[in-house]
Amino acid sequence: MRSPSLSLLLLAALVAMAGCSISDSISSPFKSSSASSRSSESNQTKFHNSVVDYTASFAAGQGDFDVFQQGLSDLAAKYGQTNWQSDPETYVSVGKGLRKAKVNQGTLQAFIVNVAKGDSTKAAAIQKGYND
Amino acid sequence: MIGAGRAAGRRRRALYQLALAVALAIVPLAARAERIVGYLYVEANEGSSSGGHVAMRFGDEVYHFQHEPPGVLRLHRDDAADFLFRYSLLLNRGVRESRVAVDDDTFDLLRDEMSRRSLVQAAQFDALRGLYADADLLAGIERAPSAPVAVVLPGFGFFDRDRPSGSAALLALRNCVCGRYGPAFLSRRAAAAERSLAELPPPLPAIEAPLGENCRPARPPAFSKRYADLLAARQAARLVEDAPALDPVAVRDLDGDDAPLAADERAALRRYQSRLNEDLCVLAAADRSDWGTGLAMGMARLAAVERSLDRGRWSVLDVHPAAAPTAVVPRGELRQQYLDVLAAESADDLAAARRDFASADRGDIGYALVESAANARLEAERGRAGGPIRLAAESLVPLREARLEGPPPRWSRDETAASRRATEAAADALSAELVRLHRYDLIRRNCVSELFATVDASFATLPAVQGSADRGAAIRAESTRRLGGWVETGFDPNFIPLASEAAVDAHWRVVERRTFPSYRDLRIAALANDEPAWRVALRESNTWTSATYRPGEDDSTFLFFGDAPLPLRPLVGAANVLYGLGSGVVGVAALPFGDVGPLDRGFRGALYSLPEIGFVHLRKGTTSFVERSRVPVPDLP
Repeated sequence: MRSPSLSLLLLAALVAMAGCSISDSISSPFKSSSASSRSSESNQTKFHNSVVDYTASFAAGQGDFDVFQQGLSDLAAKYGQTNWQSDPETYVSVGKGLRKAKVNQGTLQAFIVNVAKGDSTKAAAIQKGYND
Repeated sequence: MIGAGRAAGRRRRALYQLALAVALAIVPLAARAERIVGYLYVEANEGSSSGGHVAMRFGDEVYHFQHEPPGVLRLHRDDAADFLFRYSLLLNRGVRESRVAVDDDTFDLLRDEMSRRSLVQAAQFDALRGLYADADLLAGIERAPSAPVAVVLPGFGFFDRDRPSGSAALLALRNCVCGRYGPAFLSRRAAAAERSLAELPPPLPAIEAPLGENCRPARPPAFSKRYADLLAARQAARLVEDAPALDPVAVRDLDGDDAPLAADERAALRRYQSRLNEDLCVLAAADRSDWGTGLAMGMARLAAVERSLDRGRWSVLDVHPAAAPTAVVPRGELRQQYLDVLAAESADDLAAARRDFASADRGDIGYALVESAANARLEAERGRAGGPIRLAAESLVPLREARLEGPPPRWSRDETAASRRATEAAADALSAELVRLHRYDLIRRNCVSELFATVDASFATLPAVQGSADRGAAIRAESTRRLGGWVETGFDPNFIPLASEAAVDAHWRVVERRTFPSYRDLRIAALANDEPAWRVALRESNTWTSATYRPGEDDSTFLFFGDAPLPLRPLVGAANVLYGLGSGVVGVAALPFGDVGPLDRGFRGALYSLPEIGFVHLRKGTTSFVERSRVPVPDLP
């Protein structure tokens, strides 16, 4: 429908009635083909990418490391993980997020100390993600 | 010889020139490295975002702003296929995509700004939710200062704590923890959590200074969260020690049509069991504040895995929280069709998840897909048996809650009251701040204007723009260089989704336009392959005779679909207005019986039909269910 001005006015009136909201009333158990064919591999990749984005966003501001780790737990839960600490790639993703946020060495070390908590393997994984 | 040498020289020069030409042609292409950003326009329909909606697609991610309570705009990230399934199929709105060619740098710049903004917003609203939860908890403590503090904890509702399980898997976990950290470790951890609970100081949150749209609130974890985490830690330590049985109502067995465990599934389950046992043994000593909840959920899974191996068939936890929403199943002849399609598709999904689990060792992530698909399958069967169909939460971890009690804090009544007042004041201040930052405004701040504002904000981060004396001009210049032009939103029609699509097409570097058809359009096109088009058009023109219309739960009353030929639309609109009004008047008769539905649907139907008088194609209806076999999988490069 390409724009008689009356139509635009009526659409503007409709926007006024219910602009930009979503039909949150959809309570459907039906899923897209993509959702149904979602594999553990794609979910794992999405989880790690989410950790990169989340870390980059978090590191760009100020925040408490407990809050940061709660955020990681929430992301992991979205993909079914009850313990993100058991996945070494999570720490690599944290390092990638820090690189994406272009943090300085001081901030990198603060994350290593507070997230790896003295575990040299985890610290190395964060450093690896930051360096790669 | 000389002539032959000159000829060879000419050939060489020609080859060099050709090579140079090819190189020159290739270099700009390589430097450009074109990628596509999609500007999505979602057609208008009745209901929410009736004036249309817009979004931006970056590969398999879609970003869009939604108008939400309390009058704010929130930026959401959705899976692109899910977004299209919801809007184009279930909501029956065609989606048009203007594909804009950009280079790698611009793609990343725009996508990262969208991602960053959505995450910052989520953190801001999480902080507000935390303050409200704190205020509720403090009010409860203030009312009954010496009573135990009751908290609902997800993941703790799977066990019957009065009944020891004799589960070899849970006993093995206890042995692992006691063997690795000492026999008194668990009781020490539980006691430490109990002490910390009693010693928690009353929260006195400060009023948030003006936040800034792009700032995360620098707050510590909410008091209610710390209390819940400590209570979960105490309880999880006791769970490991007691190794209680799974509550029989919290575990679900797959029998009947679902195949027993195959040899590769059995082997994969054993590997997962062993890995989970080790992960939980490590988690029991973790110094992360939320370790207790993860441990409880993991232990429940460990027991369910053991049950599956014992039975030779899948058993899974009931993942739904107590207040899980339920699906609205259509009535009448569509009901059986809906249930049959759901049962068939959920069986397919479960089979796929089982294959994936057996073939790849991805721990919790692979197991969670089977757990989720098995629950969906069992819910579909429950629907067939006449029960409600519960819908899963977004999270894929098992959420069944338990109400647990912790010790009351050792504060005076005055301290609690002061803490509650400070928390309420901080919550009110943060709420006001977030409304100020993200306020919805029909013209100046809607889902269209904020999308373009976010695009501009991404350019504003560039050093060239930040160093410019005239930032507005620099942003417009960057937009022109990277996108082909700049789209203005303000006091012009571009705030309307349809007009914004035209503006993008006019100003940005659109290299292709494509459409994701609505469910109705797809079905009508398919039917027209098997019977005369005129017959399909006639039958599908109205809700009485249409074979493709499966009314969604919120559809209002209308007679004719709005996709009639353009000259007929005012007539169709007028007929729909009269039909809606008539239905509403008839619906008045149902009021004495307490049924406002017919009246509401009738008058809403009349209202939403008005735009058709002005040639707007609005009445499309929504679709209560969609068979995947009848719709194409969208290609989303």
